This record gives sequence, C-alpha cells and structure tokens, in this order.
Amino acid sequence: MIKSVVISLLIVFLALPVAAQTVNPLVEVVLSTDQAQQGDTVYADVMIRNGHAIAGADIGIATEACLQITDRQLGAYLPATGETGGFSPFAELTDTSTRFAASITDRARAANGDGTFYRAVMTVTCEQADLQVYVTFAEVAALAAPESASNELLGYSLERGNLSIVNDALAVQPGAVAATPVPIQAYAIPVTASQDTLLLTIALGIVGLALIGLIVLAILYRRHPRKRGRAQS
Amino acid sequence: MSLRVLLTTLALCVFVRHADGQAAPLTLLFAPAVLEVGTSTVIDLLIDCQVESCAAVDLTVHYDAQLVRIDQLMLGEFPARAGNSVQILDNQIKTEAATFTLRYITLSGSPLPNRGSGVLAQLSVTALAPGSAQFYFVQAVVSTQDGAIIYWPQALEGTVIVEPIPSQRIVSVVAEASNPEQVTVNVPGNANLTVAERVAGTALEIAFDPQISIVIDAPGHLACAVTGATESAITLRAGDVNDDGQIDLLDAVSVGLEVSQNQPSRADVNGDQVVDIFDLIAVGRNYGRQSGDCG
Repeated sequence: MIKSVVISLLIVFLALPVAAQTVNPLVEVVLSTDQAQQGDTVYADVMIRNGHAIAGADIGIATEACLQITDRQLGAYLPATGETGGFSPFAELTDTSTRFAASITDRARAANGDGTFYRAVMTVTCEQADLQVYVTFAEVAALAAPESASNELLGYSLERGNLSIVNDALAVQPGAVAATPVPIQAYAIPVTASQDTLLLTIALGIVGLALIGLIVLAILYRRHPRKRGRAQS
Repeated sequence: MSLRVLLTTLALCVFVRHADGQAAPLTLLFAPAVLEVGTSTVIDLLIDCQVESCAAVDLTVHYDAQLVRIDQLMLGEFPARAGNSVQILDNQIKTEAATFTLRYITLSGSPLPNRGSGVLAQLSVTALAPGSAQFYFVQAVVSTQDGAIIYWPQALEGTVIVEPIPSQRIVSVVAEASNPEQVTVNVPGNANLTVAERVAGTALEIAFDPQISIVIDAPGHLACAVTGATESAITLRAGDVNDDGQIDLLDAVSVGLEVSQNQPSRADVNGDQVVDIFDLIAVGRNYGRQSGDCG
C-alpha cells in the first residue's frame, strides 16, 4: 500500500515539470479599472503568462475612439534596452493602437512565469461607452532549450494557433469611480559581475570588522575580572 | 441656368468661326509616350491657351482600341488652377466606340481666367499590342466662361507608340548584407528558360525572359519575385535569419542572442563577420517585411 502511494507520488512529481513546460504562453490585457468617466486615466497592462524561457515578445493592442492612448511604459518582464540586456526592434504608437517588440540579448534575461510586458496609458475621451481593449497582434519567442547553449527558438503566435489571448473591457459612464492603479514595476538594471564582486567584498569587510570587534570585546572582558566581580557582589 | 445657356451656345456655335476671324492661338496636344505591351502609363493632354479664357471645354477623342486601352480619364491641373471651381458635365470612356469624352465648365465667380499652358486632362493608358496608336479629336471646342467666344484648338492628334515586349529583361540586384556572388536565382521548372547572371561591381545583373517570374534570394535575406514589370534595380532586404519568408520577432531574437559572441553566424545580418548592434539595427529597419514581389 505504502509502496504504491510512493510510486504514484513519484510519477506525479516527475510529470509536474513536464506538464508545466507544455503549457503555452498566454497574452492578457488587464485594465486598471473596469469603469471610468470622461477625463480619467486608465492603464492597460499587457501581460504575458505561463512563460518559460521567454526571449522576446511582439504584442500590439488597440482601443476604440473613446480611449486615447497617450503613452507606453515598459514593464518588468523583458528588457528592451542595451543596459538591461535587451533591445526593441519595433515600436509603434497611435491614438488608438500601440505595438511594441522586445528581445533579449543576454540569455540570463529570459523570462519565466507571469509579468507585465508593457503598460499603455490611456485617457477616456467620451461620456458614455462600453469599450474593449484588445490584442491585435501577438508573437512570443522562447528558448527551446534554455539549459543548453543552443539558441533554437520556439515561436508562439496567433497565426500559429499556439498562443491564447484574453482581452478586457471598460464601462464609461458619468460619475463612475475608477479603481486606483498599481504602479508599474519597470525592468531593473541587472547587477553586473564586477558590481557583484564589489558587493561581496563590502559584505565580507563588514563581517570581518564585526568579528574583530567581537574579539576585542572578548579580550577586554577577560582583562577586567575584578571589576566584573565587584559588579556581581 | 448659366450651364444650360453655355451648353446650348456650344452646340449651336459649332460651325461659327472664331470671333475675330483669326486662327486661335490655342493648342491641344498629347504628350508623346512610348510603352511596352502589357505596361501602363499616364499620358498628359496638354493645353496652351493664349486666348482670352479657356474656361469651358467639350472634347471627344477617338483612340486605337486595338493597341491601347484607356483605363481612366482624370481632369488635369489646368481647369482648377488658381482655386477655380470646375463642374464636370461629362467624363466617360466608351470602349465600344473607342472614344472618350470630357466636358467641363469653370463656374462663374472664379477668381482668374483660365489661360496659359498646363495639363488639361490625364489618361491612364494600358498598351495591348505593338504599333502606333493614334489619338485624334472627333470634337474639340473651347469657350470663354460665358460661352460668348468659341475657339477651335489646333494640333488635334497624338501618338502613343507601343513597343513589343523585349525578349530579354535585365535587372540589377544588390543584397543589403551579401556579396553579389551569394545572390541565388530560382527559375520555375521550364526547360526553355535561360537566365544569364553577371557580377557588376556590388550588384548581380540578371537577364531573363520577362514573360516569366524568377525568384531571387541570398542567405539571411528576404526572397522576392521578379517579373517583367519589376523595376530594374532591386535591393534584397536583410534580416530573414531563419529563412521563413518574413523578418519578425524570431529573427530579432536570433540576432539578439548572438550579439557579441564573435563567431560566424547566420545572425550576421549585415555580413561584416561580427554580430553586433548594427545587425540589430538592420533587423529593426526591415522588421515586419515579408517575401513577395521585389521592389
């Protein structure tokens, strides 16, 4: 009985990583609020979910005339600048649509799991409407064998039929109270190897100083037993 | 009302001589054109109006329907110059009769008289068969705005020379990131076709039968099809690293992952033996392009 349970658990544990890897990425538009009024600022986060060794993405979204896109901010999922280990081969922004592509140049920057690829900043320009913010183009590239040195890629796209999308909707009406948006987390500049070494040196220095301090304190403690005895009596 | 008056005047005065009895210093002239069978061009019908005003025009032109086809008839810049308002009364191509008609008037209140030289009309013409296609005026009447003075233009014919398709067409191909020797030419499976290639400087000159389509390609470039109608200078676009017929995210990532690895690679988009920022720029420049017709 115990033996069969153990075998079953082993099978489950072995199958889990395989199952996790076969789940295709998903592109989802998440609005900062589901209702707003004219003049409000609404954010559309373009998210990639279920990513596994994602090396690049090219995603376009569109709104309707009542939502004017004013800006686009890069999220924390993929780098898009040289200093962060990536680049952007394509970027486009109009009043009602935006498309942005980013690719890594450093394998270590391949992304996993869920995250915000970019955020579109939009202004509501009409009094009343039921609006959609939808994905118009989506392509995601992943490293086929992230553990190896191979640069073979897997492509996911709407055309290939191996990428799912989820759109979002917004109700515009007078007096609607928009939810407070969560600030976007930008892609952090990675710590380089030299910076890493410097930090380690500083940490070791602090530990070393602390040890020396402790030793000095211990010596001082041993040299004044009388004072200690008086204090005790 | 004024329209009706003008039209009536135009119709009644067809046989009336020019008001002062002199030959009118007014010419209508087709710009000469030479084109190959199967190609199209736009021909200008030019006017040189040195009379008081050429504000109203009524003309019908016969053409050789065996040799050319008129696809479109458009008003030129002359009638509406200086902000004049123009009303087109008739603008049609009668294929069966092999004629086209253009009648318009400049509306009253227009700031300036229609004088001088310019383009009266434009014809979109397609060559059907080799020969000398004559255009001649069945009717050509020009008048002042109020129709008071009628003029008959001179030089009432034109010629479009249609040349046969040449037996050979030559195109010059430059690959953005490859030497001309690396450009390949693919000919559809027809034993009678001959394609001659010759390297000329940084380009590959290809001579081929323009009746067929050939496909040119180079490593890391977008392949494209060349036909008889393709322009003579072709640039192959670099960036199709994975040779899937489009320059997209997969190509961009392929180049991105090879940057600064200092080894021979297909990601060397610009062919300078190193994968670097310039290759990323090359992919960005051609991002979104797909295989298709060259040019």
